[in-house]
Amino acid sequence: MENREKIREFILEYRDVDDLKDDDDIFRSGIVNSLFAMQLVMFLESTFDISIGNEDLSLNNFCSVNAMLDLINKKQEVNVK
Amino acid sequence: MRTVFMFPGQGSQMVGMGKNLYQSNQFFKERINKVKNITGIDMPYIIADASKKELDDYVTAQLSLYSISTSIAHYLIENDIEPWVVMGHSLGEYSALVTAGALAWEEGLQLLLERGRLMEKSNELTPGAMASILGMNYDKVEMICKEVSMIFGEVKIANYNGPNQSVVSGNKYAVEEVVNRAREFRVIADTISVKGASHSPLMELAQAELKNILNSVTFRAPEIKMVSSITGDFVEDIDNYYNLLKNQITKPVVWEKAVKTSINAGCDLFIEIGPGRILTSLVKGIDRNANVISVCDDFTLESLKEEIKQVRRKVEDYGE
Repeated sequence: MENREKIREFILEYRDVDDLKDDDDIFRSGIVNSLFAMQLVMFLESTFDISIGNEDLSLNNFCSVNAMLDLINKKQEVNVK
Repeated sequence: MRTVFMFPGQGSQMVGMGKNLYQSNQFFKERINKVKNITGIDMPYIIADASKKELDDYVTAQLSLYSISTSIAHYLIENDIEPWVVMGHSLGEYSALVTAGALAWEEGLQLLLERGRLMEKSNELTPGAMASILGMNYDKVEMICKEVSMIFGEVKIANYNGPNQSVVSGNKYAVEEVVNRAREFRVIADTISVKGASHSPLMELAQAELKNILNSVTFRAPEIKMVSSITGDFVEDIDNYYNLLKNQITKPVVWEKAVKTSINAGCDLFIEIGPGRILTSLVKGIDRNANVISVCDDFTLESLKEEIKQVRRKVEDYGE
């Protein structure tokens, strides 16, 4: 399964929404809340084998499916190096 | 193996959270039915089919979490899976007390029924809100709260949940302003679906009345160790603790400290007993290497039983 689909599936499993666009701000739109955010962090770490540090806990990295994909790519590049 | 049973607080309730266990586990089903018989509240319906809006009601939220958590905990104990220590987040502390044998199950039920009613009433008279902030340290959040309080009204940290993770509570406008200011730093912040300002001075009315009710309840010395999330330390003296519990709903929850106390005491398995995975994620946020699982359905419950049996067998084999 593609990374994008994995993230979407995780969010949709927890949150009862019909429509989720890859650019939707999931916090602003109320799809997820900040209590759920830590679960999102754990999910990303275990699924994509990356390590998310405190310095990464920024809205910029988690506000949308696209933002999370960027974070994963950035982290996996570092792993390769 | 040192196992922790940990019990979630308000905010963890979810639609359909107990449906699976009610259908598959006879012990659980009987307990939930018993809640209905004692309180008159339709708990089988609440845990299976109540809407999100219904679940946000104080009494419903608190009683359902307590009913689910204590039923699973007792089931595990019946099956020889006993905790070395118990701890609970906010109202989860009542589930911990009951599991530790410090408070009778029926008494816990009655107390939470009253606690929920009083908090509901208190919130009608002095309405408040709560918000969660992820990505900012306690000092900075406290500083923002202080600044905002001067202009918008009382707001304080209500949950010290983990590194860079806190929940603030207070006057609705003040809480919203804290969220706005936190977001300016690009951290993850928003109001959460707990109505009212729990663990803040806005709950003083509820606290005063709950004190009277608690005065008529007798606590026994716990049979299982307990770490309190009011102090973050082991409960050494039940009478001292009893006085702290009377002030719990206006005092912050120091969850991070409580988890660290358990880890430092050598705990190596944390089991979150109840719906959602908030406590699981908080423990992971405090210690990435911690062994944490969450149980609230038949599959995870039965796998947990099997897994622990296997670990025990291994330990016994080595021992011989």
